[in-house]
Amino acid sequence: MKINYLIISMLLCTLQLTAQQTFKVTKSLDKEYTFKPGDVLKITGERTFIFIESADTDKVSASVEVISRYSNEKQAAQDLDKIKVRFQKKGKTLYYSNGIIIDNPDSKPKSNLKTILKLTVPNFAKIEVSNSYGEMTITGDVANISSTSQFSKLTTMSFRGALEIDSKYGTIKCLETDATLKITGNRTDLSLSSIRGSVDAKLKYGLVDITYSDKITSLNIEAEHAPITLIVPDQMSNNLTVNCKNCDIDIDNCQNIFDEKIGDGNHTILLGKNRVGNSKGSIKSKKEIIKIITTTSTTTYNNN
Amino acid sequence: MNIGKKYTYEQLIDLLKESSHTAPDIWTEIESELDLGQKIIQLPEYSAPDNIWDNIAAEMDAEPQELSTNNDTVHNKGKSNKTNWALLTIGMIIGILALTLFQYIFSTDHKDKFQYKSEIEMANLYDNKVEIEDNISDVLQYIEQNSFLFDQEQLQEFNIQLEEINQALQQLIELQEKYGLDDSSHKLMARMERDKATLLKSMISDT
Repeated sequence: MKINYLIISMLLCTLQLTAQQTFKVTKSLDKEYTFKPGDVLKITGERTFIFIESADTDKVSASVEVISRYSNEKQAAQDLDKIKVRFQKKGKTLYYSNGIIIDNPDSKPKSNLKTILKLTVPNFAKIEVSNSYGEMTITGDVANISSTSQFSKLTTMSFRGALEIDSKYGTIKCLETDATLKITGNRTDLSLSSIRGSVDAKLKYGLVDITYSDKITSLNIEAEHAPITLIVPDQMSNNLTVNCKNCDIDIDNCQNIFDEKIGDGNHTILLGKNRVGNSKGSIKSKKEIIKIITTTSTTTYNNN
Repeated sequence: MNIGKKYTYEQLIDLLKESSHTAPDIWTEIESELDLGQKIIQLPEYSAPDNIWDNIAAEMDAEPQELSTNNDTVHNKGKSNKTNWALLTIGMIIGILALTLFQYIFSTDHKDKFQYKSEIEMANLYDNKVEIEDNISDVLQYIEQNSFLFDQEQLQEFNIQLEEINQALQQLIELQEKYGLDDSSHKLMARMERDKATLLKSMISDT
């Protein structure tokens, strides 16, 4: 028995030794700026992981951490300095940008580089973000955010406000969000769950997952070459129109249909309970399937 | 020329040539009535005073003397002009320096002071080399050879989509070469390759 323990611990030690020794070199910076109603925060980043949260304040607090990882400490430090970070306040606009400066092709970085930007902003803030090959997470109440991104992931959690997204080759996840959402996606996957407020989305070539609830005031989805999975509660107070052009709607697991029309390449379903009630939106798909699933468990949304 | 009758262009030209009119000689009549000739003769004559030209000549003779007495003034004026330019240049340089200093003092664009830290991690890094298999030339050739099976719109859409995917792949590779790889970027690359494969399959399945 003792010999077994000895062998196992020797194996574990060997495994640890074979793992690569990586040097992690970081440079960090904290800044604070006064921010008044009407001011704009403009963020331009590349390989930036942005975290935005709100607070009852009249300042923007920023914490920047640039990380460089490589097997050689000197190389990691050299590559770290190639990432330039800049803050500038001009008039009503606070600018943040980060990017890599390469003097010549021979000085291309060898390290794994990323920038983490954590922001605490006032509730009335207006933010414009442009990011690629990174991520953004938004929580809290923020008046207005617009994001243009590619190869990036965007997540909202317990977010209130207005959000406009233009994403290419990305992933968008909105959870427990009470907001006005306007989304344009090209080869972007969209997931909506526990949503209040209005949603207006146009998507091409992505996967769409929507968990619908009657707390959504307006839902308008237009998808092309983007398969949609729509989860609806068994008890729906409002109506929802689902239309598939040159495609089919899979209703094998759906129980809320009260009207269905098929013809001229169109398959249209009216979901809900009340024939007379107003439609709260429409989901339209071209060329890709819409799958509707009725679930008996209702998703609760806590309005804190 | 008859009113109401139609004429050609050439006929009209000929008609005009036939009709030649001269103005009546009315100027002689006007002159005689106004009796202008006599009145011109009766106009008073004026002449300049004799001393004017003498004065002008005297002034012209005196000018060189005046110039020679003002040499110092001119020389002094030149000197003060040069001084003014020098002062102006110095003033501008000082102004520019002051403005730069003012901007630097009140600018928020100072060089930020970073805090540096280094630590060792026991972790495997992704190899930053990116490899893509680009052996779809056979498939593209096949599609081209069978292009008659597709309508123009379909072929155009296919080419646009393929170009978009290839451009996106190229952009992603450039970003990966700059910033390195990680798990999520590998997944993204795989997704793009899947998109490309789906596109090609959809074209081949139509043949």
